[in-house]
Amino acid sequence: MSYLLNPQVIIDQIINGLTIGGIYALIALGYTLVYGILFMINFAHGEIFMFGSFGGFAALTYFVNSGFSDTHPGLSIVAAFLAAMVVSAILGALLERIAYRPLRNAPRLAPLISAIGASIFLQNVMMLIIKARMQVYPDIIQEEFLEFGWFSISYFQLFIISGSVLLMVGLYLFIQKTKTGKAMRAVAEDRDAASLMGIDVNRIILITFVIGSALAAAAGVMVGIYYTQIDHMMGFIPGIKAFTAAVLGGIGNVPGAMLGGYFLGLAEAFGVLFMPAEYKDVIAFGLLVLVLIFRPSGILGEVVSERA
Amino acid sequence: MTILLQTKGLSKRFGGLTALNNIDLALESCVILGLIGPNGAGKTTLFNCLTGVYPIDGGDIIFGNRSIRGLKSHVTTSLGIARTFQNIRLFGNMTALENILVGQHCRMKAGVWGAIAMNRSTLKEEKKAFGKADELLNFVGLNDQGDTLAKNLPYGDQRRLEIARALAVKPRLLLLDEPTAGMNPRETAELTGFIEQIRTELELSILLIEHDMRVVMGISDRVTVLDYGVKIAEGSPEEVRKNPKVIEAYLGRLGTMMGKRAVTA
Amino acid sequence: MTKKTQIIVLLAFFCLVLGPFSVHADEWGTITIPAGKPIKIGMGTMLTGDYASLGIDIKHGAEMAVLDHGSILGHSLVLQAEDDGCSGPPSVAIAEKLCNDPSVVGLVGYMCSGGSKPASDIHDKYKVVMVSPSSTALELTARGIPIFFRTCWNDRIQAERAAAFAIKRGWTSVVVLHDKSDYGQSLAEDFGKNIEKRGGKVLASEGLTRGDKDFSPVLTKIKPLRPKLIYFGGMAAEGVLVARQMKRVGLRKTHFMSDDGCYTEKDFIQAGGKASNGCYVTYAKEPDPVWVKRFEAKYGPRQTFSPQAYDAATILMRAVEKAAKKQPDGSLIIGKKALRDAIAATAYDGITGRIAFDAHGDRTGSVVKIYKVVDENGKRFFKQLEF
Repeated sequence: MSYLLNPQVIIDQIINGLTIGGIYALIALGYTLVYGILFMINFAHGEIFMFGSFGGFAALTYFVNSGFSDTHPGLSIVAAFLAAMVVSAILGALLERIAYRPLRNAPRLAPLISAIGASIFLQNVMMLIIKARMQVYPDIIQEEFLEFGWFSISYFQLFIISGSVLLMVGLYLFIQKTKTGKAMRAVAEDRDAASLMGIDVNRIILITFVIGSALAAAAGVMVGIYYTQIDHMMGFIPGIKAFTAAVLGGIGNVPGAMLGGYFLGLAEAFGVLFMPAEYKDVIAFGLLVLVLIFRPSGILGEVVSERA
Repeated sequence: MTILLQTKGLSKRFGGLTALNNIDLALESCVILGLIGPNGAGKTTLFNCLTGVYPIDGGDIIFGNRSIRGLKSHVTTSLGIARTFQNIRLFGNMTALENILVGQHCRMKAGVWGAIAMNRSTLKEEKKAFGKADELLNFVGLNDQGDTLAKNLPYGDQRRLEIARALAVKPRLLLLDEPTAGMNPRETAELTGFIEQIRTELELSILLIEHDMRVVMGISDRVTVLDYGVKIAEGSPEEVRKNPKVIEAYLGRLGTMMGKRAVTA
Repeated sequence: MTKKTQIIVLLAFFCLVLGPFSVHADEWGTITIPAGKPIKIGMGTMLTGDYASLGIDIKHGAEMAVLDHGSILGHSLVLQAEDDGCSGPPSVAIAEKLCNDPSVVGLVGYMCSGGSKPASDIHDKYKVVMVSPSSTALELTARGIPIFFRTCWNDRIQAERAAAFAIKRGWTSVVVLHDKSDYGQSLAEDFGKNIEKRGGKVLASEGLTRGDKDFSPVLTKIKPLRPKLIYFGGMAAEGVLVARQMKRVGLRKTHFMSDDGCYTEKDFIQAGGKASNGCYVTYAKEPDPVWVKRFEAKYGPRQTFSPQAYDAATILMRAVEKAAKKQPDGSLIIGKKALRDAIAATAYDGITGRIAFDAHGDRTGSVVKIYKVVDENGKRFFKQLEF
């Protein structure tokens, strides 16, 4: 085992962990934002992530076929991100409007079942679209590496790590500083009081879904570029892991979701050093069980509603 | 004097229970109307009907020159009805300043795109909002508490902050639900003066639910009495105090303590 | 009962019960195809999911064989392809369904060893023959199941050849990865044993999860071992990610070698892009080029096992032709044992070479070749190496 604890392996695993952790965190934010406001788990969030990935895939494929990506590779990728975010944002908004809003005042189990139904429905829709075949993201930009003597980092990893951090900082500032962000926090704390302060609660809930979905879409395109393979079931495991990350950090807590995502990513990366790699998924769910036993409200604590 | 708020035959039922029965109410601008009645008389229910929390089952509510029946809470609020709550409902994990900024929500134009683009008009509006919020903090005497989380403020300050937050809406009508509940006599006296000040300085109408008869009788221009969801009396404080129906409502059901205070205050 | 009637009853009994046997006796029973009805060839292969391009390629191979063959003794042929998901439970479900379909004579499949293994027990119960074009796992032919045959090779040969090649290249320190499937794991373990038998060293062995996309942590763990070769037993979807992520974590001097599951143009070379350059895989020798041309004109680029599937279907149909007995009313009666024996006795020059089976159902004299992904004249392809 000792050979595993040399600085090179540790730095490499930190990079691996931060990359996948950033992706988990971006998805986890969607769970946590929705939970913070509606106290429900949007189990179709993994599918929103999947649709985002396919939105980016469709855009990139179009750019490759039209030759646009040969001349403007960077622009194509930016456009793919935007396309993915739009696809997921619309999907998230539709989901809220059709599957959740009618059940807003129903018992808590009802929207949960609705979410699971929506999740299966969306998987099947995508299965029909792609005829259940795995799709491969086009290589628009060749992966290059930044060498630092005894370790190196891929530009893709650098891009995902910095991109996810940027998006999260942006989200944090949005929630803390802007008028809409304050309204989101107000609705999360006391929906009725917020409404009586002139906040259109339905609109804020819709915006919350849109923002969470757009972040998931960004994660989806990152996954597509980084891992290249996408299929209609791709949202399932990352969705559950991101949910785990959200619970780890304290569901409903925005910085908690970020922390939980990175924590889970690093735990997975370092976990394989001490146990066979086939148990990688066990690490995530094992952590979930431990947290639920010893600290049910997560690392940073759950945001508990004033009403609850 | 123009009539700001009027209810015509307003009724509200919860299942078989009639919480409000055929209430007629009229409130002129720049007037403080006290709303009293024993517990369970329907006072808070009336507030909830006026602010769109509950849909009403009969009658109509006219605010300004339009009906607001069936409008959602955030719409009635943006039309100019703001309120406070019997049990304080501040946004506890937000600072005092942020609470007031939330109150200004419906008076600001910038949307999500403005926030993302951070264009000049958004920044200007934000700056103005901060200025206004500071003003309101000063007005309620919380000048240096702006950055304190609302849940960490002393009780009396929370009450004031709740009023400030309601004022941030720029209301024409302010609904105060037992603003002095849980306060000591000194705090109560201060708040009473403050409510007077709001009315005169901001020129708005106030509908006030209050159990402390000294406060109601002291600052109300007129008083309306509800009992079992029915309006049983209306008039100046003097008239209401002498009204036998009112005395009976309090004496008959709530015992002498309350009755004595109602009569002698 | 008089003696006369007793004799009549006894005669009637013989006529009714033993009559058919006297004509078409078959100890496993018979399949009857009514006059004018088609003969069904069953098929189990992956039609949806991560390895679907491999499975659909197999389906195309069999389909082409059926179309080429046309009909048998005046009965038309139908290929009934079912999605076996490359795993046990759906394969077993298909086996139960097709073995109980009276017009199914036999089956081409299943695609994966993990599906063929449990399904072959069902086929054995009903004595319905199966010819797999792609299930290569060692134990399939070691379980004494008489109705199982395969037109592909046995992984013992594949592992031996791959290990011999690695040692010859001087790649004596290897890490073995597999996807925990019946196919991948047994192949990878067998490869490791062969390496050690030849004096090499297996530094580590790790299992990966099918469907997972992130293998960087485990590759990072392997990195300090500085292996000369990483051998992966499994399918292209995961294999190509291992090849890609090896470069990412800095295992740039380590060679990558895999099996026939990775011998696919679409899922390995196209999906891998530049990262697939220089990777080694094992596969049979190239099939008949004339056939390949014909196939590709119809279905586009071939992937992996379509030639083996073509041969499997052809062998099955030829055996049916041999075992079937046309009745005066136009129906066909096929003895199940007779059909099985006809397949076992196959001696046929297919598009993948001479096909005959040993006593276990394995193809005799099959050869496994080494291929390397090369980038020549702007085109990336599997190049057969002289070995």
